[in-house]
Amino acid sequence: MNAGRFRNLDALVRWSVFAAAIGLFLVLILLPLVSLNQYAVREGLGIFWSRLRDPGALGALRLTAVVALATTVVNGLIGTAMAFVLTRYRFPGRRAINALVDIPLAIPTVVTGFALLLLYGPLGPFGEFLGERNIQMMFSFPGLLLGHVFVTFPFMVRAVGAVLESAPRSGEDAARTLGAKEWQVFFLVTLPSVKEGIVAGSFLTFSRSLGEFGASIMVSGNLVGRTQTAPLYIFSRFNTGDVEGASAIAILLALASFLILLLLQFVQSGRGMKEALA
Amino acid sequence: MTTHLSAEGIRKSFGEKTVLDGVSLSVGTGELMALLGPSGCGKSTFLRVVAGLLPKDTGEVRIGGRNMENTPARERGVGFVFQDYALFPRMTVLENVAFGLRVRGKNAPERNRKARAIIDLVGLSGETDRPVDRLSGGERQRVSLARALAVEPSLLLLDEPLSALDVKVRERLRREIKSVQKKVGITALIVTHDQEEAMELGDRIAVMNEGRIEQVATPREIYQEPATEFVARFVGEVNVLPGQMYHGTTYAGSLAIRMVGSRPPGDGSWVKVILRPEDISVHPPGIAQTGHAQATVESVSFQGTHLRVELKTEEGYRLKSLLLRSHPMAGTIAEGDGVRVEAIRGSILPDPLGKQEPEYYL
Repeated sequence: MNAGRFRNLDALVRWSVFAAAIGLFLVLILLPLVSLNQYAVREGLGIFWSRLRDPGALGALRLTAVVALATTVVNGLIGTAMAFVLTRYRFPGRRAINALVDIPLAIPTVVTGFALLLLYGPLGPFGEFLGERNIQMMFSFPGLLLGHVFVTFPFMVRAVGAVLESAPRSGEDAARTLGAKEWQVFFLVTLPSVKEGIVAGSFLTFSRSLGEFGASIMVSGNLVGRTQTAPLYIFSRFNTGDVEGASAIAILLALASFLILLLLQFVQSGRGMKEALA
Repeated sequence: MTTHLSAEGIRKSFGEKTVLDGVSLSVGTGELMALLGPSGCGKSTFLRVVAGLLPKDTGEVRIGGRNMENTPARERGVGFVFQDYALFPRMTVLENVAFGLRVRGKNAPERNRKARAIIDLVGLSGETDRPVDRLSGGERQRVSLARALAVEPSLLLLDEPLSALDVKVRERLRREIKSVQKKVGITALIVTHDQEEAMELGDRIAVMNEGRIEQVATPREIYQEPATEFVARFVGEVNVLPGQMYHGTTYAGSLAIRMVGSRPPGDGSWVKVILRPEDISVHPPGIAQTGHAQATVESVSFQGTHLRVELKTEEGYRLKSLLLRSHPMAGTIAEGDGVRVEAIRGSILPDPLGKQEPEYYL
């Protein structure tokens, strides 16, 4: 009898945990996303389309894509290099630097933007130097890129680093004994072996850059049509009371992120699928 | 036999830890040498030093008479087979085997023709175009062997190539490695911690312990006349007893030892007697016989092909003995029985303790 009651209690606890987890997920995560549609399509799809075709909106979307792409390329190069240095090199201070790589994740992005502004702004040491040479970093594309590279820096380093650390290095040694020169070892063996890490890191970097707000608003100056990215556009529209305009872009941005997520999952399981098929 | 690989006084430390403590080893042209030792004894490190994959601290490596001091791994003409196969994933069998020829700038028709020939040799002709990710462990290791041989190295190094494989596959591949090595006629050095593998593969065996080579000899010599107590204990089971010489015969208590080797030290000096369990013969007690010892059976355990019998002689020495199932006493022998023990053959080691009778054996 007693055992039966305990079993029922057990089942009750398990059911409550299940219900609470799924329920909270629906309310906290999915509900806000669904609500995006509310304003965008309330007046009919026509309004939605006209808001999307607004030159300001188109410009913001284009700039966001370009910045995200550039950020991914830049971090693809320096992040991969950093991952190599941290996993393959032994030097004093390696552990400290390794720990510091994650700092952009911990610092509020607005603080990052503010710091860049202080350094590269008209009154900052770098800014003054560059300004004398007619190079303006802040309130322009380079500043935006700088902010995005900073904020997304850890993603590529960690994604590639994880692959480098887990992959056995005997393949490289094998290539050496087979007569490969060091550059051949790198391009034929090492680089292909971290491809997955680079792909995963690129997706993470790209999607993080798409939504970047805090640093962008500080360094860009929010200049419509010039340095206003999609998240900044949404914020500006909303502030001027154009909820439909904000919603249209917001939906598009959310959709893009969702697609990237799907694509990443597909790419990561792609290898497994290919193996299962053949 | 001319020497193809010679290593002289190789030392290597990782920080405080000395891994190779002056290793010298010569391997003859066409010879298959097994480097046997427990894990952590430095045998794989030695192999990597020979291949040029790891810098040594001091010493000299010569391959085909050439000093390898400033020769990088890619120019040493050494084929290396790794424990974890180290194949290039996402490449086919053919691409893996042809890799060495590719990086050496051979054109596609030539390298594919050559690679196919080697793939045939290791018995994988049916798998040429399969990606290596989809091969079994045994097949992968064959690809690895083929890949190493494709560039026609003068020396083949194998680092525990079979230890990641199932027993059945391991035994078959072991024979195949030996036959391929003899067919190609390549000088080879194989690292293993498995004495059975070393015995079957090695023309000679080098036994390594704590960064030093303790003995280099044929498998038979290693087993019958181990040069050190470590070798004796590492290769098979062994009884080690204190012994003393009287008139040219060695006795362990009242047990007379028929010696395999020579090297008799002077009369009266103490030695270590090395007796293999299968060289200890058990008889019904009966009349005492010179050179035999009386003993009591302490335990008997059935092990399939044989029985393992533990004995204690009247002088208090403990002995392990193996009785074949066909032995006349095999059916009846039991704990507590009195038996007569004879040592069929044994070998001796000079005892570092000199004249003092070592009590720790008792």
